[in-house]
Amino acid sequence: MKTRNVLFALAFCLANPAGASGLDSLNRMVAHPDVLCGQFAQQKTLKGVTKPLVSSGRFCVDRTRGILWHTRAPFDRTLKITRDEIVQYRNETVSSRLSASREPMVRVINSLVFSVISGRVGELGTYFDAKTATSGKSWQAELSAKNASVASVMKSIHLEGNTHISLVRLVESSGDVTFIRFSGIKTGAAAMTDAEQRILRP
Amino acid sequence: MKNVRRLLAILWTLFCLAAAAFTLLEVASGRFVPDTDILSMLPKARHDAVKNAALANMVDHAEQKALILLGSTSREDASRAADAYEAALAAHHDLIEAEPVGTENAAADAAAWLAPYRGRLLSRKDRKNLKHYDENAWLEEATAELYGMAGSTLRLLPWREDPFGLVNGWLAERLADTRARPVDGRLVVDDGQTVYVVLPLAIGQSVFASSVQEKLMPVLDNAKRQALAAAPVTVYSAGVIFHTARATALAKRDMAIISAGSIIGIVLLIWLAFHAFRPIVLVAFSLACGLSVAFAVCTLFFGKIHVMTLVFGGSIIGLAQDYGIFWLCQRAKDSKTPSDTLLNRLLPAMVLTAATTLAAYAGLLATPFDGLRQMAAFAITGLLCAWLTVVLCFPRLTHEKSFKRPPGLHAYQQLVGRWPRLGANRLTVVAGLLFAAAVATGLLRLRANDDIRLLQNTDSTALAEQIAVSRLMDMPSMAQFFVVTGKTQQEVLMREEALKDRLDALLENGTISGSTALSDWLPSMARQKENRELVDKTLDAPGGAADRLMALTGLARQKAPGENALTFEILMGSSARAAATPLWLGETAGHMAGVVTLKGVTPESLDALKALENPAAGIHFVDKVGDISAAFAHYRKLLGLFVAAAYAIIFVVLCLRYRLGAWRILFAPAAATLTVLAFLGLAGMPLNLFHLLALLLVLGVGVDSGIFFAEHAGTLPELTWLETGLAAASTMLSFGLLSLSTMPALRSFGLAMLVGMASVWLIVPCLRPKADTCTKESP
Repeated sequence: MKTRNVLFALAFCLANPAGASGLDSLNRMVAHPDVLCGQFAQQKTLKGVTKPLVSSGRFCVDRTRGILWHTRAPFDRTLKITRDEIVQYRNETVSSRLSASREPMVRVINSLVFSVISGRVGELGTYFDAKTATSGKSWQAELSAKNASVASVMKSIHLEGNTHISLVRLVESSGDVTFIRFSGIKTGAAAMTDAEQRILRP
Repeated sequence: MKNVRRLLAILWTLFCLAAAAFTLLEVASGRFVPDTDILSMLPKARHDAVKNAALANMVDHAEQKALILLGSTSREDASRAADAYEAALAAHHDLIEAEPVGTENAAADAAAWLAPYRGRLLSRKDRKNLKHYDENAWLEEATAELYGMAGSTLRLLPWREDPFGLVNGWLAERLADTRARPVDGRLVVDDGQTVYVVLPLAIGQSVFASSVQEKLMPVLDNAKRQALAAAPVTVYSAGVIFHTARATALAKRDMAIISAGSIIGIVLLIWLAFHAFRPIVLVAFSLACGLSVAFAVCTLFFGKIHVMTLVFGGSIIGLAQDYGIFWLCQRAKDSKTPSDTLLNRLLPAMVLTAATTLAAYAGLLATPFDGLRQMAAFAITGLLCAWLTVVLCFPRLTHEKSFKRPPGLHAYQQLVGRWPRLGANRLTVVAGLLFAAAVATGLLRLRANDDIRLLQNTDSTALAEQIAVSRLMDMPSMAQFFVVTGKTQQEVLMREEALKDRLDALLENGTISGSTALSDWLPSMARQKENRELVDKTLDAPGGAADRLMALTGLARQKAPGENALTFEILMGSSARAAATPLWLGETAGHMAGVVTLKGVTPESLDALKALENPAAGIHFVDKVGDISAAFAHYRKLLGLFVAAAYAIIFVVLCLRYRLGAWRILFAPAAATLTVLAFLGLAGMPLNLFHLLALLLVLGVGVDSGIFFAEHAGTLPELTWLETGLAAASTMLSFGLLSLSTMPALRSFGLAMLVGMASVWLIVPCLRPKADTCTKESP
């Protein structure tokens, strides 16, 4: 653990502090497939809630259609985020819907979540000031919100990855912290299951 | 006697000069601000005091504001354009200023101060779900959110403070009433394709003052150009200013065209008739006197002159010059009689003609339309003063040898001589039958339409932008809403809640798309208590959802919300003040009153909304458009009867002097009236109040010419014809010009006058006595 912290510190000493251009170089290290699916394991620590909240499931990112977040445990819930709306599904039926035309923040959330999960870290430069570090094929980025609008959703983001993103740590404005670990990533149209296709590409 | 007449003439001239000086001073000093609001034309007494107060409140909140929307597919472009727009306004902050926009934190701040009232404020959906309580579903929703993707829910209060999202749901419902959201320090609306940055502007000085419009419009136009230069955006501008400025500009143009056209036309006509300069000066003098006094009297009496009065006033010129022309013709014809003697001889006919025209305008004074009354007052004063100038001054300014016999006489004489004449012949029968057939066809097709929107001066661009902004911002209707009254504020709130329950039914079946009331923000004490009890009985019950959620997550038990209720004072001290203020009228006409605004009102939803009105229970429905249109319909029908009655009365009066020959006088205006109605029917133009006003004047002026004719046909036919001919040409010119006005009301009036007067002048010669008396040359 200690070794890792030292490595971190070293990495940050070497880091390019110029934000966006650093993110651009990371961008070249990350693959940008049209479709990307895999497993996630999420752990949330909420202020006032003693138990860590652990959930897991599958996720898909379709460059043109949006993001699917399918929580399988402990509840079966599906979340779809597109440029125009955020939709919650419960057993494949819509349980809530928030459209960008009613709530412009939907666009901000969409672009934020999309950039994070698909590893388009370069695009995060719009919303965050970044410090980046690379070592071989691996990279890390520490992002902090540029303005109040972004901070009202996300204060800071820590990202790690290589060809694809592997770890995210999110700190929300409320102080809630979330770790997400990604695994089993597959790319290409075949990565999506039929059920996922039905929701994401109706 | 002669000295008395001279003194009167001098005094009158001085009086007119004083009026002219006053008029010039008013205009030159910039004190003169024409009223451009079409609605100030309308009757005021139609609504009761509470409805009037509500309307005034609605207008007050809107008229000094403007909204600019700058749209692009990219928010960055829209923001850049907004920056450029604001920068262009910066130098004119005394005139117009961008209003501060709330920050993203506003909603979270609101949630924070609302937290103590958790459970007392419930959204419609939560209230329903608590009434049909399914504990597991509530529990599952609250837990599922914990495990959902981080950052994907828009929460106003953190989960731990409001795990069931009650405050969240209530505030989200309130926020759903408005579309614009603060993003990055800008107010933003998004229609799915385009992102618009909204600039709310506050205007420091009255948007109705043309001096303000003249200063402000170039500033706004320039700001728009700057915005367009800064980024590829679509700009929509909305606000009363854009309509008033446009209306003023159009009215000024109308006024210039109509006045200039009238004057040029009349000068040409007089020149053609007299081939002399002096008659032109004299007629111009009488017109100047009439118009100056009319302007001064209206300004002093009404305080403010409506632009429609001014445009209409321009067309009065055509009528006012008749008196001067009449005198000049008589003077030119008779080179022996002294002026005073001539006046004594002509006075009865002159009084009669002036009286009939003035009586026709006096009819307008009796209508409850302020604008019409003002126009009538302007016309009556103007005509009367022009007439007085002719009667008092012209005999002093002209004498036996002033004019030669008018040179235009002979050609006109010949034209009239060949004009078809009605009599017992085949031509009359054929013409009569054709006329009857045309009239019958036209009348069968004639429809009435009193929709105020058809009569508004609609500038399609400004209106389209206004509609686009209303749609994008999802703004409530300014014209249709409910006013709820009660003895106390609590009674009003409870009545609003009862009304809202019924409106919710209309919302669900799509009759309307939304409604907002103070009781949304401030539920009545009874409703707050009921809500709290509902939550206590369900979510917060011992061993209920809240307790189970604690056990499940280890969440520390939240402090139970206090027993304090949300009050009006707390609400008005909060950030919700801006949203709540327009919804509360306070004490009005002895009642407490609130406004319930509506969205998505269509012509189809009006009946359902009207059905909810119940004045006994303090529920009043205001439909400004409908009320005004109904008023127009009411007065159109009333005026129709009035015109018919006027014919009957005038016929009786004429019979006293002309016996049964009176029909000859009334025939022309009556036939002209039918022609106008048939014309409108055939042209597919709906009949409105303004057409009938014209018909009233057609009667007045038609009878005028008929009397001239009846009085003088035998003795001075050629001059009568010349006079009537000149009067006809100038009147038709004036009203022809009026029918080109950009104001639909004046256009209707002008067109009806044009067709009506043309018919009168074409028909009158047909009624002349037999050819031998008509073509007999004067010695």
